[in-house]
Amino acid sequence: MPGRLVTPSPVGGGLGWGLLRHAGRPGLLALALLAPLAGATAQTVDPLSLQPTEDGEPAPPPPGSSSLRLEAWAQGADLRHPVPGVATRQQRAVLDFRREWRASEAGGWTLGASGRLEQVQGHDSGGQGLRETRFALREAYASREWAPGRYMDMGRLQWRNGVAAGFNPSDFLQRGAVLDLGTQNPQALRENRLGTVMLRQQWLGPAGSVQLGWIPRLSSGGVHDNPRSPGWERTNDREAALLRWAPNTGEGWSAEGLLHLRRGDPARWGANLTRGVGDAWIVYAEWAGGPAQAPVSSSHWQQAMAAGATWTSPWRWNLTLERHQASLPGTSDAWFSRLAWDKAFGADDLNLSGFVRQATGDHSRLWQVDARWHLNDRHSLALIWGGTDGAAGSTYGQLPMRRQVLVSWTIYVP
Amino acid sequence: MSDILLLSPQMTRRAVAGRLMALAAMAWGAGLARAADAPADPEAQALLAASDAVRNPPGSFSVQLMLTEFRQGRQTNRSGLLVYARPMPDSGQYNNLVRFLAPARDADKLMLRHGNELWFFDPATKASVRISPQQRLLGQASNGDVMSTNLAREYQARHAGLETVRDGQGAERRCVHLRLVANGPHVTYPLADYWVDPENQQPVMARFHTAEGRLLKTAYFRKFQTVLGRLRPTETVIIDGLDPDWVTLMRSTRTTEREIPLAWLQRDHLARFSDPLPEPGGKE
Repeated sequence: MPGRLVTPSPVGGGLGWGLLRHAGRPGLLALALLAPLAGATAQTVDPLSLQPTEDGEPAPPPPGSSSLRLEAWAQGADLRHPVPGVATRQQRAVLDFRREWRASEAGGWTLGASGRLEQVQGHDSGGQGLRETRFALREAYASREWAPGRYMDMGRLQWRNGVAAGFNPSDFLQRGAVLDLGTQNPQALRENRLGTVMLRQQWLGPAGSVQLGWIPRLSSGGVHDNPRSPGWERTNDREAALLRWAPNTGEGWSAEGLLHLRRGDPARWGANLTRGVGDAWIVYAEWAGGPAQAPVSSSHWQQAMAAGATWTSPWRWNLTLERHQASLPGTSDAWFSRLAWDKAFGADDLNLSGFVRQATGDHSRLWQVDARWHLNDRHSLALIWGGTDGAAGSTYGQLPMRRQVLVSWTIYVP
Repeated sequence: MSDILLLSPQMTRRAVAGRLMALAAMAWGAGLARAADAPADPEAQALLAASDAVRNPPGSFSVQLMLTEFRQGRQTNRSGLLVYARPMPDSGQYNNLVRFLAPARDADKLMLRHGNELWFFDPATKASVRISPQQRLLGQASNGDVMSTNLAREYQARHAGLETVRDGQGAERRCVHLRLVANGPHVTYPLADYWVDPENQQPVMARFHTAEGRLLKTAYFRKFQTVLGRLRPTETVIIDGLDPDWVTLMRSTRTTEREIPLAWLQRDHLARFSDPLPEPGGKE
């Protein structure tokens, strides 16, 4: 097509005058009423003339990473029955930090720490006042690459496993480590938990990665009441070892296998699989199992599984659907679904998400909806509404919390 | 022949319309299939590869990107990224590691493209999550938009004519119009129109489409400056296909030729990633 001129489309404009010509008198009146609403879009802006209001750009970051944020929380809960010590109204002020110092030369040491300091006050349904200061040391570690592709870590480390979103049976170090946050969002619970003290080696090469961790016993067990104690009894009450093997499987599938040995417990095996399908789907499966613990039967096999898929829609929301099956103590079969919508309704600063977990046996439910506004680069406001539904004595209907509302304001300190 | 292709005078208008629509859909699908199956036009493919060489420096490099989003002409968002790119020896395509620099709430998050796999790493959770190519972490710009890509490795190009186009700075340029069809479903945009200046192989403009032909976005490459020994675009204007009021300005700086270790491009290394030389001594 010689001579054809290809040009950019104008932004906005054009539409209003075209409508006016065809609208007639009633249409003119309607357009006049709507004019204030449409004002923002009625002007023509050449997209090629747009320039940033500031020209600055972030400086290249130094080695290592850091994050510091301040949070203010207010939450209210409606309980099914009064529970002494469980707050129905609560306010929290939080300082959450994470810092990693890395040597600039190869083979140097990396030091890291992260924690959460909370000042909590509120009252329970009996009017009893609650006030305490909590500190959780999530991580404190040292790492070093002692040879190319050979790493050693020691200290309190976060070591999460599992590919599913709502239930991670192969996340063997999760038990007892999750911090009380109010929110039930699995993602938030994944982030806020105590690390485990261990000595870990990693071998990383073109064929994949092998990690082996030895976990010493540091406490005799029994949860301490002191909210400022390190919580060794929650993470290191028994000697244990964890092995993870993640072979490089080429494109398509990714896979990993795990083995968890804990003194006094039978061995637990774990496996994770993911695969991309087309450009919008990720399918995955997570499994863990092992011989049943006495006195059930040492020949009986107990296992748990989560399998699901995440679909990214053309409208920018991500839908996850998972099936959970478990024969391990303290678990139940369930469906889990989560919908996340970034830039919801076209608003640049609004992220919406929600999940529901429904027990298949008794149809009781746990659910939560999150709305998060990024007011600017450093401030976010979140509104969380959640609850449980179900008959008395059902999986979720027996929990004290019926409904809860949380509001939080977060300041990210650069 | 399937009876869907048969039209008769006894058919109702609705039935005729339905069959005509089915025929049109089949023709469109057949057209796409032909485009995908047709042998590449060697000259068009060579021009596309030459244009890739203008956009991307040779070998491994790092580049800092600043993305600024506009809605109805008003600036609404800014993100800073550092992209590390290393071509794979077998395919010539890039593996990319993207480090988020700004805003503060996203700082130090990582996104890895290893072949067709995409992984997202959050230092707060110390966990890598696999994501799909469609899953966007950056607002309007897709993951593919910010990562270095050799289009000639992802598309079959065909010559579609010589056209005069208005470039990103308003000047008229005589360009070769290339029609691009993706080699597989892993490619972010199934179809594209691409305009290249044959005099200097500079990319001028692109339009990216869905498999059904719907416009997803228009991109203008502009502000050509000498970077690593050659005039290369340092700014891309991305205009949303559905909502042309939604515009992203992607500005690149600090393009630096440097060695990107293979280990950086493995999922299990994400938790250990650290760039020891944020101001590298490589060529800029």
